[in-house]
Amino acid sequence: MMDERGIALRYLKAQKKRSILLAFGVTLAIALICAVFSMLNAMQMYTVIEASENVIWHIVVKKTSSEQAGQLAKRIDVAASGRSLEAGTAIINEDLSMGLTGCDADGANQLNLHIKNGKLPQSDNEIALEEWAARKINSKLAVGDTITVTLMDKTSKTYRISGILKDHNKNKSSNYIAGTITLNEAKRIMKTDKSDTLLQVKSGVDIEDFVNSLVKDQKISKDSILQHTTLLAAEGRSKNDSAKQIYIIGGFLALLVVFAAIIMIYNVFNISVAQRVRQFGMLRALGATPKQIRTLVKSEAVFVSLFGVLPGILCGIIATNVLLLFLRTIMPEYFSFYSGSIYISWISLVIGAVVGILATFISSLLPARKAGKISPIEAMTSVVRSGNIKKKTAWGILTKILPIEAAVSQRRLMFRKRSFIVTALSLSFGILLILSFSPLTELFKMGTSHNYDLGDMYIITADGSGIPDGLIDSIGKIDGVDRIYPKRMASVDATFEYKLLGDDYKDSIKDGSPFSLKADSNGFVKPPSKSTLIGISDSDLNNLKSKLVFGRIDPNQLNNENGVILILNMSTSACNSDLRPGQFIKVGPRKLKICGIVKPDALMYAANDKVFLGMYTTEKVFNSINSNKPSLVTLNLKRDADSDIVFSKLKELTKGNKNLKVYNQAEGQDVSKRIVLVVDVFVYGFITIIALIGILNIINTMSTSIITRTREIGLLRASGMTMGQVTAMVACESALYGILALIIGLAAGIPLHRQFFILLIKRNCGIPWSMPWYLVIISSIITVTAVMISIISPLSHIKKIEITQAVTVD
Amino acid sequence: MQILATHDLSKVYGKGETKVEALKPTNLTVNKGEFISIIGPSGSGKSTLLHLLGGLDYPTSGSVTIDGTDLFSMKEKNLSIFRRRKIGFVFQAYNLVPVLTVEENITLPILLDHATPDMQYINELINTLGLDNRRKHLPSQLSGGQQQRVAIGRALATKPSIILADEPTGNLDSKSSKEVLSLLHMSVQRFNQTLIVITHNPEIAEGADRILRIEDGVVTEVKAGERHDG
Repeated sequence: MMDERGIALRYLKAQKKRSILLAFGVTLAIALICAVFSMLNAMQMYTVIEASENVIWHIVVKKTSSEQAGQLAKRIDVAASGRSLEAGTAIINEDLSMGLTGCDADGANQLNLHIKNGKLPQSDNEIALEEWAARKINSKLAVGDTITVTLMDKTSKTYRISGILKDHNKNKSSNYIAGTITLNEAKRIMKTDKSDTLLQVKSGVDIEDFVNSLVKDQKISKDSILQHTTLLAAEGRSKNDSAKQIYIIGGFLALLVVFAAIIMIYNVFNISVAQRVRQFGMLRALGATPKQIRTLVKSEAVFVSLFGVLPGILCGIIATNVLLLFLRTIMPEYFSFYSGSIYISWISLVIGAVVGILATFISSLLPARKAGKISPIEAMTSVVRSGNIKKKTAWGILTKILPIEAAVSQRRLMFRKRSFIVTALSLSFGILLILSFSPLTELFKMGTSHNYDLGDMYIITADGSGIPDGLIDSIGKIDGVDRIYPKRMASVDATFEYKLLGDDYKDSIKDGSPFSLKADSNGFVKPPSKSTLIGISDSDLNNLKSKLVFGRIDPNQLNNENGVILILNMSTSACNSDLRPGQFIKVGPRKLKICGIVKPDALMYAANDKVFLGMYTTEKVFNSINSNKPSLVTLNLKRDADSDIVFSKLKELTKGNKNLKVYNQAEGQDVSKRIVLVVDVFVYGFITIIALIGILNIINTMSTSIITRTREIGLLRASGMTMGQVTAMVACESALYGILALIIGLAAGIPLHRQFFILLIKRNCGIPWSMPWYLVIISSIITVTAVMISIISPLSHIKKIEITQAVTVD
Repeated sequence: MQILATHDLSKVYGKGETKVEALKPTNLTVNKGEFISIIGPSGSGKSTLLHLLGGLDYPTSGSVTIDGTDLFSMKEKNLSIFRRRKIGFVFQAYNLVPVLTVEENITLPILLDHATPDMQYINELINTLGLDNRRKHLPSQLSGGQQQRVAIGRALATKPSIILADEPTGNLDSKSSKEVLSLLHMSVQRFNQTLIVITHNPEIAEGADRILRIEDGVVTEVKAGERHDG
């Protein structure tokens, strides 16, 4: 005997087109959910790998004796341990310094040091270096060679290269040379017999309990215990606030995708129920109870979700693998867990499938309830119900002010307010995410683009004197060099008036604060260090326009008004954030007018990393203050240039002159750029998924809406509506979805953008929030595209409508 | 004055063994102000003929001329425009636009022209149809008879050359049928409309100036003497 489940299955089989549409929506939702969970899983693996790149320990106990280290190592909740000790900075070649770290073999594991050639240092005269660092010191440096360094205590020591280590990207991108020596040698340098014990805690052990037990049972002071919070957060083991934020963000994103998917499937079911009012009415007339009708609809949901699970999972696997392949191409170092064969995160797929089926079921609940409320009389009449109209309404205004095509569209959507708002809402999610994530990615990029301002390589004089003219020309002629940018730099005393500063800044520089600054007797802020004035060519000044935050960059104005372009300073967050164009900075006795302010620029730290202010100006203004010739030349390489060869040629050119320092940024820049790309892929990947759901939702809604109105459209055509007018009517309806989506997305997204911007960027470097017009334009373009795509299928269906069939009684 | 003429108008569906001649070559003329009823058994081709006369469907061969214009020589767009201005339709299932009010449904052909309705005429129409107190109602708030009256009003709104009605009382009770019928008669006389009605209702058929019978796609005129034989 057939029950409602059997009937549900029959309906699905009989209405193939509708069922396919339903199943497609569900498949897509499950695919997207699976893809998102897989991406989250991949991102988690990436963050673990990235966090553990330099070190894999979870806890460090500082200054432990050998006995203590032994006791710690024997703990049953410790998976592995090792010992290390930082031995200060050693100077290599006057212009190169190196951080020394001593460790034993277990310590080397904890520090993720892996030998490429040779071996770890065995004796106190040996040192191991990362491959890129060895090349930087001397392009021909190899195992067996020696280097002489000046240690912290000013003594000289010669080490033999025992091994070349695999590169650590973080060190490479920040140009930090790390030298690995024996633990004994480090103890000797530091004149101590204690070292740090590095501990890897077993999985499943609560970190807080572990730390408390160290304090309580082994009488270790809490101040000497350090946690690797980034790694613990990435592994999901940290209760740290910043870790919780990561979990919250990840959970929020997953929920957003699931919510958007629910909205999409809900819409599909809603329209499906609306199409079958007479069928349900007939079933009710034949004796079906409301509960049986609800069960019928819910059963359809379950069947459809089961049909959609397998294709959904397959699509999710494909999407994830395409993404990982792309990421592995960009950052093979961090995505080596993806071997190129099919990556399946079973847990993500199971979660995705379960969540997808549940989401489908939940989506069907409201439509099921609606179906259950259909009365038997609905089957008996051929009257088209247009909603639950309870009272006479004052209609008629719209058709007087709008063309009929627009009026019908608008009126139709007003009758289906819930569906209208829900569909527009799902489209608005993408806009919301674009706006709210933008400050995060902008901050990240600003941090990593720090090195860009110094080009691929740069040469600078140690004492600020000019680089010989002939040498600058020679540098420009090196094969592989694309462009050179000579810059005059002067270290100057710059001050500004205390009264110009805002209250927040004054508060931050008062006595006792980290950036305490005092005003002198003339009311000027007394700076703690020198400032950098940089004179560049007019064309180089014009190139700064993309970084302009306030004012303008006009070389003529700068020349006429003794103007400067101030550089915002990121490292001392309160510094100069309140200065504005029109105000004046005193450099010695000279008053220089601030004409413009640009975003943070690493260039100002080229000569001195404790700069108070950084300022650009024209060569003419610079000459009037300081006659220095160019003391810095930055250069960009051609795309196909071999950076090692160019660097060695630069070293060759500057060999005889100890005042000239040459720095290679190329490798670090490459890593930075790739990291930025990875972050972009993750962030904008999520946003794309959400936006896709919204776009597909509107396409689905429009398609199904038109299918249900075959008769109405036939009538309109019979009454004399041309195909062009029908197209306009459909386009109006779609446009209304887009307009509402844009309104909701921007109304919610712009305030969020502002909040995040102030929190992340203004607080860090003082750049004020301004309306993100380019994001508004991008959001509008995406919305318009979605709207245009959504009418393609409906119009194709409309063209097939035969008027005579549409208007005939069935 | 001749308002409508057909020349060898025919419609064939399918090919070969499945070929169906829904309408055999038909030559027909209608004068202005005439009331013509079309009768015939189910599946005889009545609706096919009406749809061809209204330009809703394309013939296999032949032509239809209304008010001097050959319908099928026009492009689709021009045919749509011609239809909204010159032909009024009343269908069995009222086929109103559910989201438009009574007044808007009636003025729909004029709104499709982006023109301003002559409200004096429209008001007169609405009053004549007895819909004055339902102007702002939606179709779902009306009875069947009221909805059909709206459809009639829509058909009359542009003062078309010809009104084509496909079983206009088919879905109505006898009282509503009589009301609709009298309205159709009145409008034909009052507005000098030409009316062609498909009907199974002998009363309607008897009230017509001419009766056409269709059987197996062949159109014949029922002579005055044959009328009472049914």
